[in-house]
Amino acid sequence: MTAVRQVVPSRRAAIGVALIALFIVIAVAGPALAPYSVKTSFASWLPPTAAHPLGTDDYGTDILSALLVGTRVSVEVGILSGLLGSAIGTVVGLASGYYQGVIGELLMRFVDLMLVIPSLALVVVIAAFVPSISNGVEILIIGGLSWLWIARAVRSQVLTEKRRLYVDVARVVGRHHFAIMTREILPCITPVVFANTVMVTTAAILTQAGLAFLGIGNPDSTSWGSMLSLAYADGAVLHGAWTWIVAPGLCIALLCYGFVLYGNSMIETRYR
Amino acid sequence: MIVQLESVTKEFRSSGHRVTALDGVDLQLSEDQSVALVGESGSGKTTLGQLLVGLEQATTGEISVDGSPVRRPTDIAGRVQMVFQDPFASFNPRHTIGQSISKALSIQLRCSAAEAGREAVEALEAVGLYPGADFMARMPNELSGGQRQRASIARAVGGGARLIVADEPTSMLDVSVASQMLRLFRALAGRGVSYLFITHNLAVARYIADRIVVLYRGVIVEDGPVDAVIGHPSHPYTRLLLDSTPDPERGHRARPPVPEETTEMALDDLSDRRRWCVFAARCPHRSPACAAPVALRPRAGGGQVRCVLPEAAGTAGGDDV
Amino acid sequence: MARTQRVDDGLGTPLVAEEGGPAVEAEGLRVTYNGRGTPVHAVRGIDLQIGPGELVGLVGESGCGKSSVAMALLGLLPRETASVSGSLRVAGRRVLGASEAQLRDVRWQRAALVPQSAMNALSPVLRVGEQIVDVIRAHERISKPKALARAVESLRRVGLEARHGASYPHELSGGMRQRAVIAMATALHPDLLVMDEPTTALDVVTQQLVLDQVQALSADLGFAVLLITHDLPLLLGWAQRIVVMYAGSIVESGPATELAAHPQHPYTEMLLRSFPPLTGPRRELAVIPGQPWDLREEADQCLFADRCPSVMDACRTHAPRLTAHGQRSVACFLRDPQS
Repeated sequence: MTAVRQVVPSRRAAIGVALIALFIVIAVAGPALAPYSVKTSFASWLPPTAAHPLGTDDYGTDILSALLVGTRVSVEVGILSGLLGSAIGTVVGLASGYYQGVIGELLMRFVDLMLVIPSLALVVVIAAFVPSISNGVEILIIGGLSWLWIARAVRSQVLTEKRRLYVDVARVVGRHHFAIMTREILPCITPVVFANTVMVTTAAILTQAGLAFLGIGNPDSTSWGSMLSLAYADGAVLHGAWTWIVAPGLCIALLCYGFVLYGNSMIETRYR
Repeated sequence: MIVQLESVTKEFRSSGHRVTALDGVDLQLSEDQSVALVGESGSGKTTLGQLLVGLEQATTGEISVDGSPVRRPTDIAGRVQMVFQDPFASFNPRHTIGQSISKALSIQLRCSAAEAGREAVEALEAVGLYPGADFMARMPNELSGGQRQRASIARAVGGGARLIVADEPTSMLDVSVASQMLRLFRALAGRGVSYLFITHNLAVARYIADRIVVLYRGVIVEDGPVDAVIGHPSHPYTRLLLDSTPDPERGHRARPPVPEETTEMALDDLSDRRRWCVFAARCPHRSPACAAPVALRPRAGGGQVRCVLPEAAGTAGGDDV
Repeated sequence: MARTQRVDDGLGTPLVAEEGGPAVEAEGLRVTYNGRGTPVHAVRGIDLQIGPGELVGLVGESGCGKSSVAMALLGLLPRETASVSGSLRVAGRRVLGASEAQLRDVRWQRAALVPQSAMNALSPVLRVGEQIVDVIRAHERISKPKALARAVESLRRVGLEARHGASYPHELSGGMRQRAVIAMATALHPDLLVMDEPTTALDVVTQQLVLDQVQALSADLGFAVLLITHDLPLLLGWAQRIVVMYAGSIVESGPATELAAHPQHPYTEMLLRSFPPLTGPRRELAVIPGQPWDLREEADQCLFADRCPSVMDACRTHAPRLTAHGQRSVACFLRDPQS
């Protein structure tokens, strides 16, 4: 398998990657892409026109611009939390799966305990004690809770792989434990790691949006969730400003869908 | 190089039971002699092989190579290596053949990756995979079973190991491929490699080895030069193996029925093992004299046997097979 | 070796009073797999006769078509991808072109198959005895207690006990599981038992045990056995007749001891000499050079020609036909220089 084929094994995966890449590009380009600044006020509640393709909101802000600018927060927090959780979870899963024993068991019982706690509720509680949460802290919290899920999945896969003959062979040949974990087993469990990473990332995106919707997080920054929050609070439905609701909602859905497509296609990939 | 097992016992705990895979085994192997370790499933032969390469540790007793104890694979990786039974699972599916072999050789030869790569190509060609450079770049699933097994042998031998533990290396191969593999093993033996060849087939043992060690339920019951053991088996179990082994040279051969364990005398429990000869439950010659653990004694024609029967020590005439 | 004519074996097994008809009558049996790409000609027009109660060994390496033959005998080849032609009667019943309902009548009751790795295919969540009861009750309307009694009886016949029937498969050793599978296959007293590599995962002692049991069972119940294996020496001392297949065709067949003592086809001889001898003078093992025939190719020549040490010109231009000489048949121009 060529390197590209390994990472993008199917058309489904390619579509998923394309969607994700699109949003990353928008996130990075951010304000530069937006036709207007989000601080500029136009007339409120304008319907979609050539000048404002998605109309304006209650504050006269161009919705398209808000959407493009808000992409950055959503993408950044969502993806970085997912990556953080994946990194920690993979390391913990590998170690506890390979070494097993008392430490592995204790680790997993701890994970089981933590998994019971709903992350959204936890963040809400934390927010009650802190005036505002920056993006970085949000990433740490969400990522810090999502590694649990990945650790379990990775550990279970490592337990299976450990029984395979090539692991015995690696030991007989003289490889050390660390090399076996990282060079022998890890390459064989990448489908599981990938698949779980995208699931966790999707959850992180939704969590961030949910938090923003609830008004938790950085109140000054624009994000899809915050747009939805304002739209809801300011009665967008009553005013017929459906773009204010649909646009950010659709973006959330599409970004998650991109990850889901990719993740599912990876689960179905079999490495012989 | 001398490999020594002293009073080696290995116990496993499996779903609540304690299983004795090896019981007080004393064995000495050297690099100038190929030994076939013969026994049925449950005899402990695979476990013995695993102990030798450090994949398992003895519960009691000691395994040493040239005096230094063997506890983990890194202790002997450069001197004792293993060829496994399953050619389809013994290569990491995500690495090329070249990566797998070079890594093994660079560890054992303590050399650079580049040097190991050159050695790997040579090793592949020495086992008949030509051109070696071609095979280095291939993934395991591109090779047939026979080719993969050859590559396993290259990996085992290319790092300088002089004693190869081969655990039923041909049992998963097709007939004509298996015969090629056996010939390869013999050819390599001619170049200074010796084996602990694990098999349940005495005919294969005869082809490969100079000496046969017969294992039954974790205990050595017979040990001697290959022609002596096959021509004049001293132990009733060896006799049973001999009678059960298919022989292309023999047409219809009158065979006594295979004795099974009689239910009153199941010998899983260690305590029973202490009260009877290990083979007593299935032995057609069982007598009151067998109601005690039997020690190894010299057998006629060289080697040792663990049996109280007078024929065992060669005081009666041996059978012609 | 005609079947004993009893209406009932004492436990309610209705024994059909068949007067010892042949177990297998196959003529021109052909199996072709039509998957993607070129069709694969796995079995190329073979004739196979197995008499009542006969023990026949079918020998060949992987890819020779022997497993396809086994599946064809029980009508188990998938209709979408395999085309089977020729004439095939198993225990007097037509198999080719038969409906699924007709085949259901044949399977288990007239002919049974013990596939490869059957001993690993036992359901892990059911006791062994229960699985045999399932088979019996799937084909006969009898009560559970009666079926259980029959199941225990068939277990006893293979040397196992009632308590083994009460065990789960993982509690039994490999040899015991294999015997349990044989008990299952013979529970309904078929006329033919087909076994595909029944001994490959077993050690020599257990192999002999299983073979002995099958032999005794066959003598007792009167069924014929087709044992498919690559282990030619294993068949010596067990089979009455051996059939050797190569690349989808039968290359030689005959009484077991004679065939082994005087093989007539070069492939049979080389195959025999690929096994190390247990007794007698030491010799080098034969190596069959070259590659097996590509089953997608059809050609009017001997398919072994490229690997044969005694190849002649005729071998590359004509396909030798299986010619009988008394009880032996061979398809080779060396023995029968016919055009």
